[in-house]
Amino acid sequence: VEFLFPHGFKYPPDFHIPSLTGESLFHVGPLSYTNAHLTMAIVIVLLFGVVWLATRDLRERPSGLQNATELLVQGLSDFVVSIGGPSARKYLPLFGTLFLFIVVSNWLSVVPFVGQVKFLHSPTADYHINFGMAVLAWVAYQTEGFRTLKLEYAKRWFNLSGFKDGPFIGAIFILVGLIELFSEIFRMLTLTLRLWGNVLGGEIMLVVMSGLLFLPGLALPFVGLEVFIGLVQGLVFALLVLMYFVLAVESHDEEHQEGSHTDTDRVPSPEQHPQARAA
Amino acid sequence: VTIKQIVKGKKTWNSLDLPPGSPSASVSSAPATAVGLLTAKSSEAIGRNPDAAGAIRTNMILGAALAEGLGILSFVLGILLWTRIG
Repeated sequence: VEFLFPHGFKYPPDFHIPSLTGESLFHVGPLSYTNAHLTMAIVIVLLFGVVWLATRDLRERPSGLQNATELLVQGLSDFVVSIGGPSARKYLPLFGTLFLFIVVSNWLSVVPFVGQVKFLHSPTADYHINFGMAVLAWVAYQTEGFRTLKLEYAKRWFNLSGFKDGPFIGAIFILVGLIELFSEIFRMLTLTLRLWGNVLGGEIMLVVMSGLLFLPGLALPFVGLEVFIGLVQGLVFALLVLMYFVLAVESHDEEHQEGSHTDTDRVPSPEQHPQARAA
Repeated sequence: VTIKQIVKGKKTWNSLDLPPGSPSASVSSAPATAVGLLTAKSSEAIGRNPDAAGAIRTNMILGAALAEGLGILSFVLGILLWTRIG
């Protein structure tokens, strides 16, 4: 018993809850370099290292690491095309970068010592970094919307076309546009908080569970759960950014035309999908 | 402390002395129900039309993430109470 509890038996034990943000390591002028920055650099070095090793000698018939990397990139590319069609393939760099960075950061948060020692803190468990990524994605997709649709893009927020059907319809269109404008701003907040809350909540849960269950190995199922949640949250962040891009570049006027080709592939006609016969 | 004082700005929410876990505890059953419903319905849909499994799964993950966002917001609120920021 003394071997198991060298400081005396105490239940529940004192938890070392991971801090909500990174802690400053040193200052450069007014800017501070936190342990989240350091871990972010480690993530970047990790990803760059894998990519550098995979593309060091490229072959026509890939094997080993090059094969795995190509499989991953091809899978991400196919996924992007299945969401937004072939024209969405140009968003693959942003989507893939966000996905890989977030997933590797999330998985670092369940590695022992990350979040517990002073020098290591998972980047996505610090809301500043999530907010930075959300702002970057937000600015990028607004820019893309304005570049594709020009001034017509702003029509989704300030739509005066309803006034030709009477003042009441016009007022409703204005109101809907305002709600749309607010939801546009809240997208940044929800992207940030969803990722941060999930990763930090997972870290806290792992600490509490391994404290309450005495034996460290009993908390292993929760590590598996956290690995899964990290993957899903990385996918969700990148997927939502991709969806915002797809929604930003589609024109509202063409969408509601009956019989357009975009209409038919959402609602399949009965000839294409005949009803299953009863057995 | 009354709600009136808080609304008028004389007191903050912290003076209510709520337990930090209370937002999560009171809210988290709602997103859990939502995620359960989503999974059940999309499993049914995949059973009916296995060809559309990919699109249904993508929609399910998106919807589950959006529903879970509310639970996460309550968790963040709990952290705000715990650190006495709000």
